[in-house]
Amino acid sequence: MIREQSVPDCPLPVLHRRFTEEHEYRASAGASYSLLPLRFIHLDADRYLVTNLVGEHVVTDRSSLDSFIRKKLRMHSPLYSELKSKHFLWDADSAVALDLLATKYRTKQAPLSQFTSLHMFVTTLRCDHTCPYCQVSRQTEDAHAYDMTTEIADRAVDFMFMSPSPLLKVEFQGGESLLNFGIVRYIVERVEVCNKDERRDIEFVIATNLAPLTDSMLDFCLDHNVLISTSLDGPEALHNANRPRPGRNSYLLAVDGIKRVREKLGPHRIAALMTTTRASLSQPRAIIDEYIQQGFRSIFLRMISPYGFATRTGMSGDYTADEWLDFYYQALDYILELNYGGLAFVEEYAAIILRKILTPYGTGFVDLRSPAGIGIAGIIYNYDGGVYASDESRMLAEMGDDTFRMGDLLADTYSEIMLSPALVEPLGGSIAECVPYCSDCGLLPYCGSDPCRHHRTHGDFVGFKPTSAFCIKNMGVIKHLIRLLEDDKDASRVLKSWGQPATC
Amino acid sequence: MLRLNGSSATTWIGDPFVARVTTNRLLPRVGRSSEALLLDKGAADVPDGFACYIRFAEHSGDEDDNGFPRDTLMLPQEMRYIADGDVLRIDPQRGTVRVLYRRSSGSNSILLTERCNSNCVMCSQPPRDHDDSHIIRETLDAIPLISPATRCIGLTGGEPTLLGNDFLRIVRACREYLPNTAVHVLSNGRAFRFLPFCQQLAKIQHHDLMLGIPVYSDIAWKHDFVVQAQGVTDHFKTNHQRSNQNQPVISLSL
Repeated sequence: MIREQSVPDCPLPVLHRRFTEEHEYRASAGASYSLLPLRFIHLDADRYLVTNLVGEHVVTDRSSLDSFIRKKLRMHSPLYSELKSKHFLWDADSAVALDLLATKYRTKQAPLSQFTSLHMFVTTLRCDHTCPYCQVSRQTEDAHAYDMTTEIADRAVDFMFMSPSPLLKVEFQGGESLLNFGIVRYIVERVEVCNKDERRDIEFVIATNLAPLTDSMLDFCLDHNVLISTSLDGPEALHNANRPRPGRNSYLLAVDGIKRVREKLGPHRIAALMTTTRASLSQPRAIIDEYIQQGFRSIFLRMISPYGFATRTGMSGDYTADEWLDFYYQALDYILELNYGGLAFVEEYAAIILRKILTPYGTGFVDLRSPAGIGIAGIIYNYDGGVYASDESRMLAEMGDDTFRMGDLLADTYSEIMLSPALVEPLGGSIAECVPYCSDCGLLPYCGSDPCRHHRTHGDFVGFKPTSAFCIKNMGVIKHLIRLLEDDKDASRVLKSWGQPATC
Repeated sequence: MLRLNGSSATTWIGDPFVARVTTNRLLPRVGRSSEALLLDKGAADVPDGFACYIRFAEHSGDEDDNGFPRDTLMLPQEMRYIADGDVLRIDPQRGTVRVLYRRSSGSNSILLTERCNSNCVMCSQPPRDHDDSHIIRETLDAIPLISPATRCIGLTGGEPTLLGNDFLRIVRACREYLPNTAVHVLSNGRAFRFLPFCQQLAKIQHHDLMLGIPVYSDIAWKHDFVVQAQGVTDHFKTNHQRSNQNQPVISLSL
């Protein structure tokens, strides 16, 4: 924390007389200052977090904040220098301060100009698992009516190349995506052919539970540089309870698959995602230990989403955001302890937020942007040709709610789909700067919005933040991270290493 | 510390020149005029046609100059490290030798001028206000003699950009003669407030040019105090922005 009363740095003790004294340069700052746009929020009993529109932050006490806002802050104080260098105020010292602030803002918002880079293809809704939290209604293994056809795949690939993004990430989703491996192969090869002219930077990812993975599929992945993303919920008992399948062997198949992928494709060609269920809440350490034992160097701790079977089985009501936060804090404490002990391990959600706090860069992560990334960062092509704004919105559709269906690959053009009210209206409701509670929230630059979730839980795209699990969760995580950065030297050192600019 | 400047016990009449060290006595005659031949044996059979000759003073103090060519430098023992491929600046009349480049070193920097428009309070080699423009010619002579296998070369000063068009000529020469070498320019950045200068530098399209510009504070007047010049912070901040707005034409590390 920096207070107005903090002691300034010692000036040079002696200066040769051929040099001009410091105060003569200081005079160019003049005698008064102006405020630049800023927000603030209570951090705890006596501290405030002050942020500006480019995500710079300062933690100070109430009386210092008060004198700063009332333009009574002493211009000699270290707090003044801190606020000035981070563009919370400006004075006569520099004529380009505002242009610099604009540069920072442009840098922060740069991901917007890339437009849609994540393109998800639902190859089939069939799945061998019957997970209660499943985000899409699965069908039996032989229901080929739920498979993507080559006709739909052709349209989806053409549609993807309409996006101006220089980077295109092709992600195969299900159901269990590998149960329709023929279409995976077809799409990969077609994208490669199209890209001979398009020359985009392409990345292929298959999201799979690994159960149907064969060696010939692995050969294909090796030949075409395909990455694998899988689900791992924790130790065997927890994983199998969360992810039932005939034979109750989901864990063994996943762990064996992870090993085979590593051997064939390389140690870092596979990533895993976990979903927190009620049963997970009591065992953060065991879940993290499992990830380490399986050779992962990071974990993404995810709260359950209120979609798919999760709502039908009542599971999303199974725990509150506050209960999840308790779990998250314990998990983060443990991960930090591991790092202090010399074992480098990252919590990915914290890392995304830390990059927003500590660097001038924005994020491509769909839920932590304003406007949200639905449609404009990520888009999903359903097996039947329906185009949706996000993975979650096609889950809603499988539950009978078509709100986020942007159009049909077989019937609509690119501009009809991208300008559809099913995208534009929720996007409007996701601009945090214009939304009640968000617009004056000090955490705005680090947060985002999730119109799909709020539509589900509150019946509109904006939602009511005080009762929104999304808001409670992000408030909790972000304030916790700021406190660790401020109060805990060891934690701060680790967190700063996570907050390096991302390469992906 | 390596001794980079030395005096020769011998002198002769002539203008300063730049030469590359070689031990190859059999170098074809036509290529000898830019090379200084390192003599390790006696005066017998010294081939002629080289830019000059180098030998080292023996400890005995009983030097026998007989038989050596007139243009033979006699350098102190501390400069024995001088080896094949090194580049020297030689002033025969004053008998001074400066090592400009050592092929075996990973960090070679060429000083382009001692003049500077800043006057940093902590500068270890404060600016000197005298005409040292002869360095430009010498640098342009030296660059073709530097090994193209060199990974990186520094251009420093003083403030190198004060040379204006001559600075651009030097960068152009680096592009031509050192196509695999990165160039690091240490600059106070103030020249880059002139857009045409930026454009001309960018137009050279050097393959690997880094401008290193020290920023001493994120408060404008504090930087100005350190470099003892009013309003300079705004100069290079405008530039940083410029490189941000347009496509980054040159890599600018602040």
